[in-house]
Amino acid sequence: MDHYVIKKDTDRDPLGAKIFSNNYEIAEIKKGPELSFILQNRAGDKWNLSSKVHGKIRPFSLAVHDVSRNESREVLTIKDHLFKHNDRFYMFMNHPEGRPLHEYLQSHRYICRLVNFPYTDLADIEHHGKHRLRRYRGVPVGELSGLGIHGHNVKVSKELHDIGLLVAASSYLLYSAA
Amino acid sequence: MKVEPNRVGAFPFKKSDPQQRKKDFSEVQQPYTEEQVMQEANRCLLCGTPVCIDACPVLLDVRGMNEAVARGDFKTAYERIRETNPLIGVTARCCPQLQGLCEDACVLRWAGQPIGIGLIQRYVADWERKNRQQSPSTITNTGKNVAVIGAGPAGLAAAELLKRYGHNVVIYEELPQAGGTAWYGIPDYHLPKDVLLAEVDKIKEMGIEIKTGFKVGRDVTFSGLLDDNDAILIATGSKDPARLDTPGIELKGVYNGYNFLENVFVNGVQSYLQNPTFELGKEIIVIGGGDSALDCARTALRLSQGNVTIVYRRTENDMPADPIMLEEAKEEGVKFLFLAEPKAYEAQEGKAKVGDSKHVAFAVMNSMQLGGPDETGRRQPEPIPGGEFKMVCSSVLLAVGRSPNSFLTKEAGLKTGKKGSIEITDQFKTSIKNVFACGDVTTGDSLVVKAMASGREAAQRVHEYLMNIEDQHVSFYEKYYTENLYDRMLAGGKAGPPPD
Repeated sequence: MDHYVIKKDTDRDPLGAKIFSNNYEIAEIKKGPELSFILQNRAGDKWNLSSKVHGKIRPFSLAVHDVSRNESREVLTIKDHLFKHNDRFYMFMNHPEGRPLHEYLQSHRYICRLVNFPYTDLADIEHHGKHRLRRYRGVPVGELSGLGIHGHNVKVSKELHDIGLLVAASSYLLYSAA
Repeated sequence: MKVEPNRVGAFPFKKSDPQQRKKDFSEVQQPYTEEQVMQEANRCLLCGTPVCIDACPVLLDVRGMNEAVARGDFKTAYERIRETNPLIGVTARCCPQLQGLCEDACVLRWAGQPIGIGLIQRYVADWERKNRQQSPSTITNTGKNVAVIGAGPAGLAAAELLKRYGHNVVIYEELPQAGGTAWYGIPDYHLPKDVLLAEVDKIKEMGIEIKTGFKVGRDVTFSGLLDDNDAILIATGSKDPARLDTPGIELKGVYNGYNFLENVFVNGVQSYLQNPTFELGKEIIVIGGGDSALDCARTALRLSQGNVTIVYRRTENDMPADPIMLEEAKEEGVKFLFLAEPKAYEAQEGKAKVGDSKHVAFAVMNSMQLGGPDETGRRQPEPIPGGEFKMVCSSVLLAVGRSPNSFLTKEAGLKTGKKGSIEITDQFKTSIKNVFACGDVTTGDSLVVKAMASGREAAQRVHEYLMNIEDQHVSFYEKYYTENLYDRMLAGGKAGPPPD
């Protein structure tokens, strides 16, 4: 699994954070324009992370745009804890299938791949089904732990490798920035 | 940071003795003392990005509440949370805070244990009942009339907000008491009814009339109500039980669990105890795996002092019930049988015929095994061939889910969606002009607080429609989020050394 540690940058920028992998600093998060955040890695790639998804500002939602070049391209959309990647649906803070709910109260948190998810697009998740989303149980593909001010840990498996940094930064901003 | 939670293991509150409490309907959850609540509130980090508020469907100002309670300023705490929540005592007790809501989101979960937000909120609500505060003020009367049908959580929350917007509001409720599921569906040991009554009274004090025992479609026509009002908001909830065709289901003693709960609690449990109408016997089976099944079981246990067994077709790990309530049920002696499903019900003399009025004596069960995943990702239960067995029973309570209340939908000719829910637009509009809908009648069974959130959002839309300002709509969340986000982030947080 790829392992990221995101730590709030309280000394330099109270709104910012640094991202580490294998103890090396690989990226940072800082304040962006219009209530968004900017993620930048050491190679100079830049992404804008905004809570405005499908035209609305929503809780537990982020639209991640690659703004490295002049144009802006949406590369990851998280809506109500859910995201789609390579035609598969994933959920942050999901509890794996087969594990008891009371374990959820004490264990790490998971990113799970959802099996047989009945929607084909995030935009399709309409009013009727939205409130039942937390009932879904999936296959764990990532682990989350730790408070951002001390170090938020994000581990992702191979299937999320290509968006691992984006997932890590998003997890920090959505769940652990305090 | 050294975390010293004021909690009881993973489950967050002290409970009354199970051997005592299973004999009556006294409250299970024990409150904090003043010292405990201030200590607990003081643990709050006052986050710059309070995810606890993000996770609350009604955006309760958890951060503001904790800040005030830590100082002992319960008046300010009450004012802050009352701003978005007119049922704070109800939701403090009924919300599953650790399941996807405020305590689940609390960042202190990463470092130790989340703040006991529910218990802090309960303390503030209980404080207010002893030190009555003024209700929020309303603006100048707009002259618009709105009829709200249904006085459950969605209807009450909607009516309260509509009144604050300045509209004349009347709620029509078919049952003798306001509260909806909070009144007749949640037992007193979980939600004492004086808490709900006090909060309904405060809503009435704002000038909202609640006509109880009044059924739209029977006591007044829907079209008549439409003529007399500028808008109607339907909030009739989820009441239609799931239709099952298990052989023998017509036998005496096989009851709809939701109907059972309603009959026990609708006129107050003390009234039912003097005149019980359900023959439970001493060997009761409850079918289902959700919170209502647990409520049926624990209520039946208290009424019968007999043996109560919950039968669920999947495993304990798959039960959707709140783990805290599950633990409470086990402590009280409720038994559980997993991977079983009723195949038929039989009377003493053998198999029942259709229309037979004999009493149930056995439940014939299929043993189940888990197959491939269904659309929720949970493994689908399948009967094991040759795995039938009989369970002796004196009564059966069925609690396998409900659908949206279809009575008014059919009466008014509203367009329906999935499982008979009223179909609505993003603006909460139905297929009939000037008619809106919200809450469980549009989504199916949900939580009290989610129904309230739906009611509030619908009320906002009704107001914008009546005042012709729909193009100025800004959601509650967007308004909250954009107001001083960065300033709040910069002002928030109090860190300390890492946990041990």
